[in-house]
Amino acid sequence: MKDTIDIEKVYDTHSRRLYNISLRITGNGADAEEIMHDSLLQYWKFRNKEQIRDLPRWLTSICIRKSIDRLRERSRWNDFLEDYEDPALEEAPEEEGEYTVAVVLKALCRLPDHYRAIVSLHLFEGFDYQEIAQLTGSKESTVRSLFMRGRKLLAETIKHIRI
Amino acid sequence: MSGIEKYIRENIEDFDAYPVPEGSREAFMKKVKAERSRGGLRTILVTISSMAAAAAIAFLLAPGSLAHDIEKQHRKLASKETEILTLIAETSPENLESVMNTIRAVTSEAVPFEEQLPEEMVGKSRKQILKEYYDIKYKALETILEQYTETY
Repeated sequence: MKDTIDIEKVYDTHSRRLYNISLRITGNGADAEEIMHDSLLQYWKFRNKEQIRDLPRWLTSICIRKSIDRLRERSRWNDFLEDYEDPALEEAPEEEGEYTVAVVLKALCRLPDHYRAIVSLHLFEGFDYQEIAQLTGSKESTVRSLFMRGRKLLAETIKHIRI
Repeated sequence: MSGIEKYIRENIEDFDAYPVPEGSREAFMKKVKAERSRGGLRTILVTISSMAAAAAIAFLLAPGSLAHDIEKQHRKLASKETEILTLIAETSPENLESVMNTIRAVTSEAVPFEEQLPEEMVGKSRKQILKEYYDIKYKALETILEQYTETY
């Protein structure tokens, strides 16, 4: 019974954060809910819980990996990265106007998978290009280029939503 | 830093904006319950089958016989396999299936190796070849375990 009470507490503390992390990466509510459940279940099944020093970080890392795996399954992620040609980087245009959380999240969810994942990992989760490259199995230069283009696309989408 | 980046960094706390879907907590607790009963059943089955296997082995295999040596090698492989699968189940269960396939590729035998040996080969040379054959498989499993231990 004790472990049920513990997992309920862990669920109450971390479920919303994990759900939102996965939602920002996958852009899909059903996927995000399933990944949040799977991440917490993985914690519940993990035998050496005392070895986990930073639970929020541990859960975040599991949740991010699972979210990227989900994108890989559904969007031929590896094929995209192999075909991706690194274009000359352009500076993002100067953005104007006020932002709101709702508009930014709405625009983020409209980005294609690869851009959304990399923009989320860099802007929201604070990963640098090298860390994202390791997580996604791609080149650092590709990640940088995808981020720049993703950020530009995000700004354009926000503008479009405002209109 | 662009305006959008600045806005996100300054308001990062507000971006966990979406509440988990209604009924999600109950659905999660159902999964926990289902996992618990699956785990209990698995333990019972493993215990029963291990006891039955041990009894059969003790009854059938005389120490020092070739069959006894083969069984010993199979048990050695099975124990390493369990070690790997336990690690994967605890650290990255999403990889369990692919790891199981890798292990299967190492350990499976369409025709048992001992049956492929010529009948005229007897005694020590037969035992020696068998040992070398299983040692290679065992080392391959150790390499898999090492790789995953380093990763997680």
